[in-house]
Amino acid sequence: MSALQVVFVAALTALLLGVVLFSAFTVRAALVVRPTTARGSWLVRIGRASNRDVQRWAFVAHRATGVAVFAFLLLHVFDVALFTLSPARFDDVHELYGTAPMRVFECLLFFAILFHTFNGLRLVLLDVAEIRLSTARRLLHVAVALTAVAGTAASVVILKPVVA
Amino acid sequence: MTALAVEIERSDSEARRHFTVEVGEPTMVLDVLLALQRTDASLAFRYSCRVAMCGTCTIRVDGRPVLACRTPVLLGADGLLLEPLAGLPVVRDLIVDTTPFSTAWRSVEPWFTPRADAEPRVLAADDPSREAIESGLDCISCGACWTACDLAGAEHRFLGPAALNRAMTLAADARDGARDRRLRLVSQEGGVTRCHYIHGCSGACPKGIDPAASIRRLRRWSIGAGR
Amino acid sequence: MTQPRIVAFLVMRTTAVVLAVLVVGHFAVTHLVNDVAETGSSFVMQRWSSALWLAWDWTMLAAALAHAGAGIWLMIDEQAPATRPRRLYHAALVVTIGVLLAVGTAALTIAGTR
Repeated sequence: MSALQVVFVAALTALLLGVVLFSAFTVRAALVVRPTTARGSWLVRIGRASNRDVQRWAFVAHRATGVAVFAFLLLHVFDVALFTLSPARFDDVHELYGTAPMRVFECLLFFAILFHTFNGLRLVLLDVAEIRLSTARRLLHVAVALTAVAGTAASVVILKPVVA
Repeated sequence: MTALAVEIERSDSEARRHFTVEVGEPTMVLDVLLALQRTDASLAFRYSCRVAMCGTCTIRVDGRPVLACRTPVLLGADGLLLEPLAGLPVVRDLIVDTTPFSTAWRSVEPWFTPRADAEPRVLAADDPSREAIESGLDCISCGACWTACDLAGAEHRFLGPAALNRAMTLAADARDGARDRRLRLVSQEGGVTRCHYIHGCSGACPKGIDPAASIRRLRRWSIGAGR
Repeated sequence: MTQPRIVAFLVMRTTAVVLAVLVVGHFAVTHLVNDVAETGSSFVMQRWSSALWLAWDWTMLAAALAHAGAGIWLMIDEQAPATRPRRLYHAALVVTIGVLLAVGTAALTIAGTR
């Protein structure tokens, strides 16, 4: 690996670690003060969370995915800006995007983008129209379903070249 | 009659937490508390009207904020966990200090201020704004929504669903003379932009109010509301 | 005059709708329509020779930064007490957003004028 590639991988790893820590912090914060089910460890309580709490978890997931996508943008602006310094250096770093682990990362990133997008559009819809609690919940189910379907389909396309 | 295991979060760590009580059907959580107080007179909780009108007996039952007087005990459940409301300082056992809740409530100027021209004098029975006003007026300020909200509480400085629902109820009224002022108040930090659609409040309200919808309505009205 | 926090809220929602199209479109073009391995410098050079794509990328960058900035500002408001560290976090956020916007805009300007 070239020095630039090492820098890129190190920065990405650090950002990923930050995102994981932030997500854990947000999940715990949601559980510690306002438990959905009172008993058991925080992992047990997530498992027992019912449909009644589904929008609380949508909020947590929306924050976590938002921070995750921004964290990637933090790096992506710089790796693309390399192009103006020297296309060769850009290609050097860009080569990494085609590797198998990076492709897996890209799939995860796309899942995050999709959830944030569909859930975000749901929130905009709630702002624009008068929507009841039960409908808001159902719209969230739709957003999650769309994320799962579109994300899985995209993952097949992205991973195909390395799997075949 | 069936034996039911009850666990109560006590402020004194030495105090007894585990009880067994004989219950028949129907038994409300408040009945359980009253029965237990005969076993342990030091058990502290609050109640008053017993018919969901006063909003005094709100506690958490198995993690959820409810009115103890209107929550039936499920026979055959593997026990009952009773805790004080979250997001408010505990005074003793199941009694919390509701000052943060009342402070938020007071800060939206929750009183009716008539318009200078006093017009219209009455809202007609079929006035469309009555729907929002009348559902909003059902609030008994029990604090269930405050506990159910991830953002309410001193640490996040959010006014909370009840206070904002109150502001919406007043601002929806064409006779409100303080509408602009009210909308400015709820547009500050801690106001309507703090709601993130968790809908904990709407799911918890014992009076069936949808405070999250009230907040969104208030936020729509705040667009363009003066300095 | 709309209150600043309500303005931030409106920015958040407007950019959200714009980004839903631009970001998902960007990802689709770079990962689904084309394989990511083929989006090297020649792909970028070809794409940035079109003013439309330059405008797309810059709008996407500006909208994403406004959206993220408003969102993280709110998160800091919620999580940090209203004292000096909070002002420090807000300042750090503004600087970060500023640097990203400057780097991105510079890159697109250089690429566009070449």
